[in-house]
Amino acid sequence: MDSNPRDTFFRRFSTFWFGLGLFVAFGILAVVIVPCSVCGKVDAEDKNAERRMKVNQEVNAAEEAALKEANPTTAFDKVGAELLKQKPSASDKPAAQ
Amino acid sequence: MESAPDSHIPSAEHGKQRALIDHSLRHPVMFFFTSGAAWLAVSLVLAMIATMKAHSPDFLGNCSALNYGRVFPAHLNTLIYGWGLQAAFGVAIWLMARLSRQESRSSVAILVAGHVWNVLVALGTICILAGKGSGIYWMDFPEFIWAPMLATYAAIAIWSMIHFRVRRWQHIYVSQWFLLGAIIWFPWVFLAANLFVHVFDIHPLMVTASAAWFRSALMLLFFVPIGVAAAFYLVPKITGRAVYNYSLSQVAFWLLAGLAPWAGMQVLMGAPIPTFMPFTSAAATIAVVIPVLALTVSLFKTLKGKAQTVAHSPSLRFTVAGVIGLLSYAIFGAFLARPDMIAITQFTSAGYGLDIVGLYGFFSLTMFGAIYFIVPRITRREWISRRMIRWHFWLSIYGVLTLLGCIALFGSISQGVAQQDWEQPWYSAFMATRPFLIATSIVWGFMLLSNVFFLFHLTLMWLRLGRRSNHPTLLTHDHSATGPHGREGLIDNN
Repeated sequence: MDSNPRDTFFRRFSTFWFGLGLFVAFGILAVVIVPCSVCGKVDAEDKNAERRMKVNQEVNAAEEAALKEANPTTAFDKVGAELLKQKPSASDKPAAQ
Repeated sequence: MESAPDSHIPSAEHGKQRALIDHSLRHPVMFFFTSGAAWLAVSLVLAMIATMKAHSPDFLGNCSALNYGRVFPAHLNTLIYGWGLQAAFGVAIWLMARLSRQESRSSVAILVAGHVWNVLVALGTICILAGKGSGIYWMDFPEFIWAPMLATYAAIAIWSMIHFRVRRWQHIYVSQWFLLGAIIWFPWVFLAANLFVHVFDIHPLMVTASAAWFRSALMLLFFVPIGVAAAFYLVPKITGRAVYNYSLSQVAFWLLAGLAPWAGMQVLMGAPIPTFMPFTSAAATIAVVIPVLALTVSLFKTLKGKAQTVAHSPSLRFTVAGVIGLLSYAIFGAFLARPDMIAITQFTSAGYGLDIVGLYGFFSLTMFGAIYFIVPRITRREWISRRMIRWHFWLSIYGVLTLLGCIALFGSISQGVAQQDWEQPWYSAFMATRPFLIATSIVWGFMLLSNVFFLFHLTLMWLRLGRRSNHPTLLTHDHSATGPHGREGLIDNN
């Protein structure tokens, strides 16, 4: 074929790398931008979950603290002895039919 | 714009240039066409099985690999990646080389990449049939496939960019606009969709929206430009006329480039995504009719008064049918994008029908036209049988029209209207669709038959068993003593 002044090694080389770069350009942009756009993002569901977990932890802590003041195993003996000391008393009679 | 290039070079020199270009690309182009045609046959077999399973689930027993949920995505993905992409590669690399007047120096690299592509498609299909598909429409191959596919694409397409850059003259043909657009848009669309669907940790609804966008973008920004590029090459070439209006075609290119990326999400109308997304997509889908109409007008004006040429030339016949398919795809897409139509057809087979009109009624027909033109030039043999070409053409046309009616139009509307009747059980909606499904199964059988003819004919050409003649195989009814093909002789490259 007759010569083509546009066909040079430099043109071919630069087009090869430019083309490959163009093919992946959006991917590179997406990989850079998307993680940055989602960082610091507040998910409403996660926020509500944090609040609920905080309330749950407070309740659990209060229950544990209350349980430490009175050991159930010793309380049964004490309550049982108190009940035995009491005399039986008449309860209200049901109304006559 | 420079004046007609190479006008000082004698036409014998032109012929020699073209012969050298065709010779340099004969192996990769024939490989893409033949393997693509084989995948098309596989896809049509799977389509037939899928449609049979839809109305007769006991067909072929209870084998899990042949359940509808696996066979249907396998059919669609082999149609897109096995046939569609490979036909596009073969046509694109040949067209760009011819239009840029550049011999290929990288045929070996392209051929190796083509083999890798086939291995990936085969692997992906086996994974789908084994139940390991991703379950995402048009992206059903498992996650590990997409990155090697993109790398393989780069190894195939980059050389066409180089050919364009070092083309012999400044002037850019209409086909080159569309080819370059498709070559650059595909990696953007493919990479963006796969990153958002498979890589980034984003909201599941956004994954669905990305997948819906991918389906439309792949069609409008890759398959449509490749098909249009082929049409804008073949129509002027075979008729011997210049393109009717170069500027109109340029405007249509830029309109398509501007509108097509917005389309696709109208299929998610009513989903819990921002309302502007599906409505913008619907508007863009309707607006895409404008550039498609401009391209169709340009092509048909170029063809004006050449009805006999169209009737006799296999390439032109398929190409014109494909262009009509493109117009039908755009108009039908606009019709389905209307919110009142979406309300009826959203959960029916209308979307699949539209995909088939686009992939087969437009893209495949234009690719067949290009293949019937290109293969004799690279094999230096002519097609053997006019009858096989006619069977291929008419069975394809009848098949596409019947599928348009059964799946896309009447079947989907009847299904949608029946589904809207909340007082009836859903089973009655299925029964309303059943006759159309049975008709579709039969039609897939006829289309499979037409493509078996095509694959057989193409294989004979690949084995260089075609006619040695300088008369192209035309679809005439000449019964003269010398036969319709003229005397035997060496083929020339025009």
